Formats: sequence, structure tokens, C-alpha cells
Amino acid sequence: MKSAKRGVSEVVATLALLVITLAAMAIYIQGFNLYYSGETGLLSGIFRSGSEQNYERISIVYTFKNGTEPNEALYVLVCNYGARDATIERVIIDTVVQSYSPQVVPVGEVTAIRIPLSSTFSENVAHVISLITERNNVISAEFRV
Amino acid sequence: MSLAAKNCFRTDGKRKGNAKGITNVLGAILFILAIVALTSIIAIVAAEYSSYVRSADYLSNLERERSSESLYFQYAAGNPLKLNITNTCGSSIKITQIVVHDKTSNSLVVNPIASIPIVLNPGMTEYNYSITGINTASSNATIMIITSRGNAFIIAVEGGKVLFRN
Repeated sequence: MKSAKRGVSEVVATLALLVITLAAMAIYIQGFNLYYSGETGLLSGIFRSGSEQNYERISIVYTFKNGTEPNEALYVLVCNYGARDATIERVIIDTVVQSYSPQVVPVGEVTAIRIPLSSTFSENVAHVISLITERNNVISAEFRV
Repeated sequence: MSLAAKNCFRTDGKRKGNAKGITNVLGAILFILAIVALTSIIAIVAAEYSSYVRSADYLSNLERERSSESLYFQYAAGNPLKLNITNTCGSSIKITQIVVHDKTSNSLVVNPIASIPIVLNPGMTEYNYSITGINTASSNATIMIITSRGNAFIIAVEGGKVLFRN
């Protein structure tokens, strides 16, 4: 009697342990994966944003100025040769942040972006333009108008 | 042995056994939870790291091929402008876009030619490639020949001359 009782209780305890452990594991892993599926996780977020940055490639092909004051604008031809659509969020010319609304450059496309010029540009002088994308890639080029 | 003494033994024995069992179960649960937590972290970080390594490999291959791209241009005819384009690098080049900046009207024309994309294998030449709308004698334009790897080869047409950077 005594040994039979003990045996049953061990089996029940083992089964209970297994059920509790499996349930805990399932809940824990699901929660963990859900948490890290976003870009909030520290280590995985760093790797994920780094790889997204690597897949986003754009190049400045050509720049030219068009229009007369006050509608003068700089046109920049941007080519996306990467594997992700690129969103250009900021444009900086000679350390001055330009007023510019974000524009998407689709994969494999060449897009002309228009940057309204707030100040007069000196001609035949080298200027530096930097494009900053949503994924924090910075592409710079030198140009003259 | 008296009955009281027997009960005493049984009670002690039961207590001892139960206490052991609970400790083992708790220990096992804590151990398994710790292992699950560790393996989850390691698995997720390893997966993200391997995808990062793949992206870095993609980037280095792309940039290496991009920096080695080179095209050789030769003037063939003037109206419309016709060029012989030779691939002088070791990998295939795909011309995906042609953009013309007409400096006379200050306008931009993207892809004026229907016959793109053009794939040029190493050493291959595309003869008499016609760029419609450009008359060498009268046009004042900059032509950009853009490849799939984001390189732009610039051709200037100005004052009756066609200028390449070969």
C-alpha cells in the first residue's frame, strides 16, 4: 500500500512538473519572441537596424539648379541601388538643414528630389550636400552650381 | 513498538519525503526556466547576428562590384547621337536608366530611350547605341548612363563636341 501510493504520487508530480514547465516555456518563449519581434530589444535591435542600414544603398548621381528667386530650387538625382526603399528625411547643404519634406526613392529607381533654396548659392564654388535617410544612412557629395 | 511511536515515525518520514519532493520540483522548474531564458536570448541574438552578417556580406560584395564597374565610350555618329559602349570590367553591367539634362531648356528627361535595360557582359560592346533627341551639333546636354549598381557615367554634349570620361 505504502509503496503503491508513493509511486502514483511521483508520476503525478512528474506529469504536473512537465505540464507546468511546458506551459511556462510556451508562455515565456511567446512573450519573448513578441517582445523582440519589434525593434525595441537592445542587442537584436542593434543587429536588425544595422542590417537594414546595410541593405539601404543610395547614391547621388547629379545636381543642378533651376528656377529664379524666390522659386529657386536645387534638383538632386538620387539612385537607389540597394535592396530596400529609401526615405530621405533630411537634406543638409553646407551644414545648413534645408526645409524639405521626406521623399521615398524606390528600389532600382532614379528619383529627382527638389530642395527649395532659402539662401542664394554662390556659383562656381564647391558646396557639400548630405542626404540623411530614415535608417540613418548619410550620403554626401560635392557639387557646384 | 507502541502505536504512538509508529505514528511518530510515519509522520516524520512523510514530512521528510514531501519536503524533498517539493524542493526538487521547485529546483527543476527554476533550472528549466533559467535554461529556457538563456537559450531564448542566445537563439534570438544569434539569428539577428547571422542576418546582420549576411547583410554585411551583401554590402561588401555590392560595393566591390560597384567600384570595379567601368564602361568605355566611343563616338559613332552625331544626329542623333550614337555611341559604342564597351564593358571593360570583369563583371556584367546592366544599364538600367538614362537621364538627359537638357541645359538649353534646363529640363530633365528620364529614360528617353525604350531599349533599356541593356546587359553588357565583360568585353562586350553595344554598337551604335542611339540616344534620341540629342543632336551633337546643336544640343547642350549632360547625359547620365546609370547602372544597376548605382554608378553614373556622365557624357557631356556641348558646342558640337561629345565629352566622355573614359
